[in-house]
Parts: sequence; structure tokens; C-alpha cells
Amino acid sequence: MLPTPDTSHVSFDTIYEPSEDSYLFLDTLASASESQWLSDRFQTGTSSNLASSAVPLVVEAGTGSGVVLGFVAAQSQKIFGRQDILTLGTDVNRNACLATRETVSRAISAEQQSSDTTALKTIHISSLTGDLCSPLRPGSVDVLLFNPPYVPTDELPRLPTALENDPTSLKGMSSSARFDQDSYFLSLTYAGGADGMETTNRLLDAIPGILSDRGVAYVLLCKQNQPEVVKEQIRGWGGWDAETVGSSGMQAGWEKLVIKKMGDDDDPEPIIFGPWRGLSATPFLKRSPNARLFRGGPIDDLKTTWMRHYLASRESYRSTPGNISTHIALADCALKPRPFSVTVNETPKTSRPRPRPQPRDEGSIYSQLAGNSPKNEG
Amino acid sequence: MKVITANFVTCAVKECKTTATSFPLHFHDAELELQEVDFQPEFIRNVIPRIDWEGLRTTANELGFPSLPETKPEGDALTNEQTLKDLHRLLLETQVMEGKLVCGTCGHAYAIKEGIANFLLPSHLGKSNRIPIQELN
Repeated sequence: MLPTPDTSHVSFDTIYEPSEDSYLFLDTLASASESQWLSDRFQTGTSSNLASSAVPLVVEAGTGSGVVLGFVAAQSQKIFGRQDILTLGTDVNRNACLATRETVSRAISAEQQSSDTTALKTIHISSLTGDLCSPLRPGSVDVLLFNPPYVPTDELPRLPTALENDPTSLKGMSSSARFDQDSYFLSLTYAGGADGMETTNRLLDAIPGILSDRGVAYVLLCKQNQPEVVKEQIRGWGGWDAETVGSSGMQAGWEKLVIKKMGDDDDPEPIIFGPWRGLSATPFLKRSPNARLFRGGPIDDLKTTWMRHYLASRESYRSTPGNISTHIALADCALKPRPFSVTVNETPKTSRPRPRPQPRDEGSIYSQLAGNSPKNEG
Repeated sequence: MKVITANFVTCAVKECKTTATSFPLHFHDAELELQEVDFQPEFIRNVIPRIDWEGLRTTANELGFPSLPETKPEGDALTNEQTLKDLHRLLLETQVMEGKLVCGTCGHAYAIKEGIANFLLPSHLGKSNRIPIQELN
């Protein structure tokens, strides 16, 4: 049982709260087959060659709370077969960078203090405010992790500017302007534009240039991202291969994918895969009057380790539908072709939290959920 | 951000990436902070192969560190504890808390505040002209 990084210091006003997809990402990285493959690739001691013992640089684009990078940093022995990796995170939201720095540091020191661990040396070298891999030097990344904004939306939110992330720019901002800005930053955590792929496509385009010779990238997609099409595109690059490695076997709409670079030998090179994220609406839903429907309940109580969380939530779907059927409603939403844009011009059925224009997606999910899970009222 | 970061980053402007002068970015007005990290000789030995030595020499010089050897330590030099300790201090213990990273090609300055460097570009450099979601309603 591997501990989930502590994110109790993180404010989720502008940051994606670790959710099912985050835990599935951890699940896959720590799975026996994946950690074996990564350990074979990156562990020390297999060769006297200096280049092979060089510490891997592990980069996560769009870290959010930092739960994934913190997990990978703390569990580097389990995942990479070595105690020393360097981690670096990027996010377009400065708050997420601050949160990630703290999450990763806490995760590393918690692991160092646990009695049964030999000295973990992993160091988080920095959290950078930036767009995907744009600050990084070509050929520098050994492991790239990306849990994208994958939800199909009519429009892709623009990138924030340097000024919007200047801590001094928040001073004197009205609460309504602040709310708009928070909503905007939250939209960046899920809104993926056409097919939910616009941001992911930019990241995929950067992969051949940004990865080192031994580089590997892990990207999470959802079914609506059309993973089969994505795989074909990557095969079209020449020298790259893509395959699906498995299915999580839980809710319909979730599966895993691997994309590999073809090496000169049979040894597969970079891999991208994903357990499919279905639902990134949680941050917005927290703002609704029905927020309590999505908080509390058995899932929060069980959030002691990601595995328990994950297993318990699966169990709960079956055994206590009354408590968390809203999650089932979300999963159902995820199966619809364009779940976040179907009610664009429709007035939400429930009252809005504030009498001002809201991002449309809140309204659409919101009204769907209100319709799908009436028994949860109260 | 730890000083080693400077060895892995470059200008965020696409056109600059292919130019030699966009790496390393140059520190200006850097305020440094020392955060002690346990010295692990084998760790720093495994870090050295990842380092662009010329880039690091430039960075060390800009931050006022004593000159690094002209060539990257190899072989016997990797057993010299003082060399490893110096590199450990520079790369892993020294943090840049405030200041700027400046591109030698386009001159753009990336601000560092509370240890977080901001690589987002102003809109005229980033070519990002999308409409904010809340303005679409």
C-alpha cells in the first residue's frame, strides 16, 4: 500500500482537486508491469556506463495539486528502481506551482521519515509557471507525465499571461473579478477544446523534441479523445508505435493506452498510456449549491491511501449508491459524446450560486446532474 | 528554484529554441537562498552526466560562484569529495528566490518570484489570441 501525497495545504479554488483520474494515473505508474519496465530502463547498477546511471529528470506538465509528481518523487524506488530522481513541474497557474512545490516536498520528507525506507535522495528542482513543456530545453526530459484537460468543449480557454500570474495583480481585485479569474483558471484544468484534444495535441507535438534518448511519456486520455485516432496519428510520425496496454475494468469509458517509439532493437522506447479520465467537473461542482452532493460520503472518509480510496470507491458504487450516486451520474455524463456542451443554451434547472454569467460548462453538468440524481437531494 | 534548473530550461519563445544563445538563460538580480540537503556523493556523481558543463559554468559565474573546472569532472575527478561537495552546494542546495532569467537571443526576461519562475509569455510573443471562456457566454 503506497501512501497518497498529502494535499491538505492546497486550496482548490483554482486547482484541480485530485480525483479518480489522478488516482488511476498513480495506479498505472505503480502497477507491477509499468514499474518493472521503468525500473529496467532507469535503475542504477545495471551498467557501469555513466550515462545509464545518470539521474532521470521526471517532468510533469500541468501539475495542479502536485499529487502525481509527489507520488512519483516519493515512490521513485518502487516506480523507477532507484532512490535518486530529479522532479520538475510546470503549470500555467502559479498557485498550482506553489502547491506542487509543497506537495512534492512533503511527499519526499514523509517518505524519508518512514522507518522502512532507505535514504531517498530524490529532489524537486523546481515548479515553473509555463505552458506545457515550453520552458524546457530540447532533449532534456527522461519521463514526461501529463494528465490533460481532456474534456471536449466548444472553445479552448486562452492561455493566461505572465501578468495574470503575478501575485501582485490580485491585490485590489473585486470579489466578482476574483471569482471570474478563479473560474477561468479552473476551466484550464478540464476544457480541452475540440475532442478534448487541443491541449493534448500541442503536448504530443512537443514530445519528439523534448524527450531524451531514453525518454518516455505518459499521457492520460479519455474515450472521447478517440485514443484509436491518437494512436494512428502517432504511428504516422514515423519511428513511433502506439498500443493499448489494458483496461481498468471499472466504469465503462475507462481504458489504458500505450504509445511507443520504435527503437533500433526490439526494446520498446517511449511510452504514452492512459487510464481514461472521465470526469473533471468536480471543481466547478463544488461551487454549486448542491456541492455537498459531491463532497463527503464514503470517498472522503477513505482517502487515507489512494489504493483504499480507489478500491473503496469502486465498492461503493455497488454497495452504497445512495451516498455517491452523483459519481455514477458523472460517469454516465462522461459516456455522452459531448457531455459538457449539450445544454449550452439551456437554463440550468437549479438556481445558480451567483446571479452572474457562469462558464457554460458549470451550467450543463450541473443541470444534467440535477436531472440524473434527484434522489440525492438531502 | 534550484540552480540546477537553469541547466534544463531555455527560452519559451519557439523561434529562440534553435539559437545557441538561448541557452543558458542568464540570471539577473538573483537573490539566493541556501537550503541544506544531505550530501550524497553517489547522487551528485549521477547528476553530473546530466549537466551541460559549459552552461553550468556560465550560470555559476553569473551567480558569483567560484569558477568551476574548465572540463566536466570525469574518472578520478569524480572521487574528489571537495569537487562533489562544491557541485552539491551549487546545484542542489542553492535556490534562486527572486530575480530574472534573461534570454540571450530575444532579451525576454522571465521573472522569478518566491522561487517560482514565470515562463508564460506576453500575448504578442505567445501568439495566444483565444477568447476567455467567460467572455463567450
